[in-house]
Amino acid sequence: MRLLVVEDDPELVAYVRSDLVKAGFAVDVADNGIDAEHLGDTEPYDAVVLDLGLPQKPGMDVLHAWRSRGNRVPVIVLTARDAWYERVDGFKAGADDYLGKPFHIEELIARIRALIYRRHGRTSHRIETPTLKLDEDVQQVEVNGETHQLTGTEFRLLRYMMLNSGRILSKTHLSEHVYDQESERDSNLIEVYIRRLREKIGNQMILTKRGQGYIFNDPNT
Amino acid sequence: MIESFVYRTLEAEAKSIVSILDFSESGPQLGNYKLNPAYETPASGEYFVLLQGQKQLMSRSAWDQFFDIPVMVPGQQQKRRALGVAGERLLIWSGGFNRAGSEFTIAVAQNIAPIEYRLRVFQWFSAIIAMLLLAASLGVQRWIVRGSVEKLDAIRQDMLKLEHGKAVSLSEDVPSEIAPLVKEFNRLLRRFDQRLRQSRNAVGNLAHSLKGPLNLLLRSAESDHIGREERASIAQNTEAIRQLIESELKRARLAGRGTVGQRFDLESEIRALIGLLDQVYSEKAVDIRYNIGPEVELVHDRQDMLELIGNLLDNAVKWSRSVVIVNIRQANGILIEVEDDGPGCSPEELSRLTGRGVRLDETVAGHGLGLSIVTDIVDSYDGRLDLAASTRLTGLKATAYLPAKTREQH
Repeated sequence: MRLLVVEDDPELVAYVRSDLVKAGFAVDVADNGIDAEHLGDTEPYDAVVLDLGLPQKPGMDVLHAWRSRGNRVPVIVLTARDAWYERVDGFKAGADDYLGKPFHIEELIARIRALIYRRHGRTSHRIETPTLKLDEDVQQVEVNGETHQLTGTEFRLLRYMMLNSGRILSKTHLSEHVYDQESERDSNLIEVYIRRLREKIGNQMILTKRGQGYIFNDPNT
Repeated sequence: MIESFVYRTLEAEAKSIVSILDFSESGPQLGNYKLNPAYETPASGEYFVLLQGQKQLMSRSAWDQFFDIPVMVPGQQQKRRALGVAGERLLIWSGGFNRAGSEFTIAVAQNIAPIEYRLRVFQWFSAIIAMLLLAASLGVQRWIVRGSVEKLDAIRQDMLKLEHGKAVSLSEDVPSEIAPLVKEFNRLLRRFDQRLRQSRNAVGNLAHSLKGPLNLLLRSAESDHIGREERASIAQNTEAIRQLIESELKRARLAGRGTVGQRFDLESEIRALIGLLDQVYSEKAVDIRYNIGPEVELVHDRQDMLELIGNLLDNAVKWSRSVVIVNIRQANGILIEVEDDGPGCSPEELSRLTGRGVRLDETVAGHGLGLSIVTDIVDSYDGRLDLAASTRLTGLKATAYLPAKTREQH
C-alpha cells in the first residue's frame, strides 16, 4: 500500500512517516499544495493523508482539482480547525474521511486501513482467505495454522495482492504500490519477493501469467 | 358690486331720457327720438315711469306693471329694490328733476334676475374649474411624493432581503438625502463581515499553529523512554489543553445573532452532514432520517448552524443503536430536534445536563464538548436548548430553538 502524506510541519511529517512505514505502508511526502496535486495525479496512491492548511495551494483546492479531473484516490483530510462547516465542505469536495488535530497515530493508521478496505469492497477488518490469515499489526501470515514472520516488503506485497485477489497485477504495477518514490524500483526485485512469498505461503497461491504478471488466488476459495 | 353698476347705468339712462323730453304746456312729452327697443316690448325687464303732478308717463314695457313711485323734489335721488309683477327682481333708480320750469320725477327700473343668473352660472363654472385645478395639482403632488417614497420603499425591500439572507448590502441607488445613511450602513455591514472573517481566520491560524506542537507532545508522551506515570500525566495534560483550545476557539469562531447571514440551502447541507456522518460511523450503519418542514428559512450564519446541527447529530449518532431522526421546522423561529435510539440519559443526568451554569464538559462523558458548544451557539442567538427523553425513540431528544430574527424589530 502506497500513501501520500501532505503536511507542511516537518517534525510532524517525520514521525507520521516513520510510524506509517512501520505499519507497513510505502510513504511519499509533499510539503506544499502544488507538489501534492502533481504527485496525486501522477502516482498510483492507495490513499492520501491531506492537511488543509498548506502553503502555495490550500488542501481543499488540491482535493477539488483532483476530483474535478476524475481522480478518485481515497483522501483522509487532516485539519487543525476541526469545525463542522469545514468537514462538510471537505465532504462536498470529495474527502473520504476526516481527522482533527491533534491525533493519535494509531487512530490515523486505523482510519487509513478502514478507508482502503472500504475502497476494496471489504467490510471486515481482517485480510484473510480460507488458507491464509494476515495479521497487520505484527506483519505475520498464518498458513494453515503455521505462523510466518514477513519482512516489510513481503508484507506490503502480500497485503496488496490479497486485497486485489483475482486480478492480474504486473510487476510495474506491484512495484508502484509497494515502494515509495525514493526507493530503487527494479521490477526484477518483485520476482525475488514473489519467490520468497511462495516459499512461505505455498506455490499454488500466486500464479504467474507469463508476460503479464501475477494473480493471487486461494485455490480453496 | 353688480348692484351699484346697475344703479349707475339706470341713472345714466334716466338722464338720457330726461335730455330728450319736450316740454309743452301739457307737460313733458317724449320727443321724436328712437327709444331703447326694450322699452317698447311689454315686460321686457327694462322700464321707466315719469310723474308730474297727477300726470304719469311710462314706457310701453311698463304698461301692465305697477310701480309705487314716490314723488321727489328736484335733486333728490333714491335707489331701491322691488319685486315686479312676474316675480322680477327689480332695481329702481328714481330722481326728481326741474327742467324748463316744470318739476317731475323719473324712475328707471331693470330686472337683474338674468344678470344674477348668468353670474351664478359663472360662479359655478369657476368653482368647478377651481376644483378641477385643485384635483389636478393634488394629483401631481401625489405623484411627486410617491416617486420619492418609492425609492424609500426600495430600501425597505432591500432590508427585507438582507434579513432573509438574499442580499449582502443595500442598493445605493437612493434619493441623495438618505444616500449617506445607506452608504454608511453598507460600510458598517462590510466592516462587520470583514471583522468576522478576520477573526475566524486568526482563530484558524492559531488553532493550526497550536495543534502542531500539541501533536508532537502527544507523540513524545508515547515514547518508551519515559515512565508510565509520566506518560499518563503528559497525555492527560495535553488532552486537557486540547479540549481547552478546542472549546475556546470554537466559541471565538461564533458569529452569533445579528450578523447578516447568507442564505444557504439547508437541505443540501443536511444531506452532506448525513453523508459525512455515514462515512465517519460507517461501521455502525446508522439510519439517519431527516425532515425539513415547509417554509423553514434558516438565515443565520452557515458556519454557526453547521456547528450546531453537526454537534447534535454527531452526539446522537455516537450514542444511537440504529436510528437517528432529525426534524427541523418553523415555529416562530426555528426548532431543530434530534432524537436517537441510544440508551438515553437518566433523569439525574438530564437535570445535570440542563442545569444552569453547568459546564457540560465536566458532566456527562461523551455528551461533553459537543453539547457545550451547542449551548454557546444557542445562547448567542438568544435561543434555548432542551434535553429530554425521546418519546418516539428510546434515547435522548435534543431540541434547539432559535427565535426569528424579525422579533428584534417589534
